Amino acid sequence: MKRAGPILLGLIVALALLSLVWTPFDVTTIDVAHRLQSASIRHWLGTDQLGRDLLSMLMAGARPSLGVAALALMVGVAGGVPLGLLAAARPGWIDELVARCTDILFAFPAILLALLVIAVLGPGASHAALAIGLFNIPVFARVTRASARGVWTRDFILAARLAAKGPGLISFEHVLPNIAGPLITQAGLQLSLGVLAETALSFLGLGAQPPAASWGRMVADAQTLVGVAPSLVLLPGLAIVVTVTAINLTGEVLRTRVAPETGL
Amino acid sequence: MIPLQIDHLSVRYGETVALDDVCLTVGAGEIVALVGPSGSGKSTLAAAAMDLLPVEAIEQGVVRIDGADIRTLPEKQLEALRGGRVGIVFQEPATAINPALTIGKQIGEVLELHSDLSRAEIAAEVNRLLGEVGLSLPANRYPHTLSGGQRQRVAIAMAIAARPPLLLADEPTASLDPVAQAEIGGLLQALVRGRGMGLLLVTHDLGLARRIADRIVALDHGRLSEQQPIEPDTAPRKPREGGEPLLVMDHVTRIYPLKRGHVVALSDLSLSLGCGETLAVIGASGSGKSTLARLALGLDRPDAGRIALGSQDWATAHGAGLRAMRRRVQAVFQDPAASFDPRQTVARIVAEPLHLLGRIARAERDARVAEALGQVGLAPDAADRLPQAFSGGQRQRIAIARALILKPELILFDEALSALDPALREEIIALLLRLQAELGLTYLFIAHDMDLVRRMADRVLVLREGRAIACGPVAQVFDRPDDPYLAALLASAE
Repeated sequence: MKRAGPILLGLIVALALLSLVWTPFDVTTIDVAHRLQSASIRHWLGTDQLGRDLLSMLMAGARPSLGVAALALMVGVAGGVPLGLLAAARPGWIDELVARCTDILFAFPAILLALLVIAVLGPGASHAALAIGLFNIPVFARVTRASARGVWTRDFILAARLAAKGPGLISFEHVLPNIAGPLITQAGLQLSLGVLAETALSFLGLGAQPPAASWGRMVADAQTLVGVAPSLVLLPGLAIVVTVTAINLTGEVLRTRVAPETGL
Repeated sequence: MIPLQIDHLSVRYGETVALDDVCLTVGAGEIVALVGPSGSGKSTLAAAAMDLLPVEAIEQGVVRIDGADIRTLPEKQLEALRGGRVGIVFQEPATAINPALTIGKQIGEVLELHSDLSRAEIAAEVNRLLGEVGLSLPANRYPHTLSGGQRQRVAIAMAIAARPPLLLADEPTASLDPVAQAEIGGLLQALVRGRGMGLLLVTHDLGLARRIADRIVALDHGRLSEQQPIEPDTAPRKPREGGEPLLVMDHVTRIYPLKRGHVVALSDLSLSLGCGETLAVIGASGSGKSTLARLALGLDRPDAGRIALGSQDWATAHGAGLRAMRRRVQAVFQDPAASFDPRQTVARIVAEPLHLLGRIARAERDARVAEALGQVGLAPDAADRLPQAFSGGQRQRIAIARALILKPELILFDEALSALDPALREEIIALLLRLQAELGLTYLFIAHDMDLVRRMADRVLVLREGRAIACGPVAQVFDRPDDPYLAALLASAE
């Protein structure tokens, strides 16, 4: 049971990677003659309203979802963790500044600001990743700061200061390894939120642009056909749910592996 | 009725024997102290007395509380028993008390559960109980506004509210400062005598046990012995003359700003500590001991005054000079669990001060770690393990090894022995005395424990609210206390 999450996520990632080199059918080729077919030997999951193979679309659609979420996570970690460590190491005005900036960013509804970013930069997968990543920064800054402050009060930090280690080295050597647990938990959460945010942006047509496949746009394009071919909406929806669940389970397994003592 | 009667009780966890054929009786109005090193079965015995043993424990024998065999009681009556017929006082009042409820509400809850008094009667009884435990506070105070000693009094009031025939106290004074320790000890004694309760006092503080208990029973590896536990060697050490002054504090004042106003942590303090000498600093919590420690270590700067190591001043040193100063002084902290990074191996922990030497070869680092571990009596293979794998005494040895690795001149011990049980403390004291003799070390002890001060220190400095109220050779200060506060502090340890 514990292995289910990582295995599932591994499978989804493998299918996404496989779609880079091979899909059963080309997802950019329209074949109107064979549109809206139900499942068959030739098309395992049937075809959509433009005659594209649904299985191929789902495989290729995993790419922007996972890729954008992962990129956004990296932006968040790279920006938020150093900020949080800095704030914890330097109580005073720097700490205050970081705390207030994160508060201000939190005050905006995330999706609205993402829309604003995309309105300025233009739609596309990489811009979506940047917009979502921008929101991960205050999340990680806050979690890092709160956990790191707890570590800074421990006696072993005094021992490190006696060895003339500076705040940077202490943050890297002592603080970071000891806050790995909450950071991994948060990373899992932000990754699954990232998948959801990407599908939401694609649904609105602001994510990966056609002809690239994406789960969010598959749902959006098929919404008028729900009555005729419900699987066109249900299958990408199911893919989103399964992916998010797999990420959450994997995050939990990773946390107990890396930081067993910080049990939730 | 006898409050507690244990007949031939044995408890096993699988193959491990926790208690072996234990017989123990606590009579009405009697205080029995149960002492023993960590892991000797004290907690198992206390849990067995309330039938709170984990399910995997295999139990034989009979436990009677107020005449009733607790294992024949149904669960309903057992709940009435815990808190009703057995009152419990824990080590840490902060965790035993709900911070969200007023003290009156919490004491009243016990009465609601275990008596059929009306609301008005409960309110009156709560006020009477607060008086009985020596608290002249209104019942609507919240726990966080109380001191540690006051909170422990509230916990005691909760424990005795239902008039239990038996009171069980698990290290009730361990988290308190010496004056509060003495007061709580006296209070427990007065309550037991006045109410005719039995008190089973689980502790590793032999001083407390001797002061208030009628009998002391010792547990060792699950076996009980009535005889007096081994007397620690309490011969005071002969005061020696220190050499050249090593640590000098000259009219030092440290003030911490608060949101509103400020707090004076240290005020116009002067001291001088000679090479090879041992100075103990004592005082209640909040007296400025920890501030003094941080200043002496150069981790904090004074607002006025001068702090020097030999001829070097912490305030003016920087760069290479500061690193050279840092090499001369190291520290051992109170809590062996918090003073190590739980993610680092012992080798990395012990080697941490080597950072002051700049880059050194791995082979040299390993050799130095092995040497330091050897000096404190640990095997070299300890280096590859995590600190969590070691017992409290061994962890304190690791902390001492970390302090020794740079061959410093001064080592500061911040309550470094207070978390250890007596047997381990004896070992560590012997180790420290030997190291001092061999390496010519100078010790600065921040301490709670008067017995330790007598045995280790040449001179003692007594702090109260940031001011030195006495300073001089231990015998002189302790035998003729000319300050009422100091007299109270010392009386608490007698």
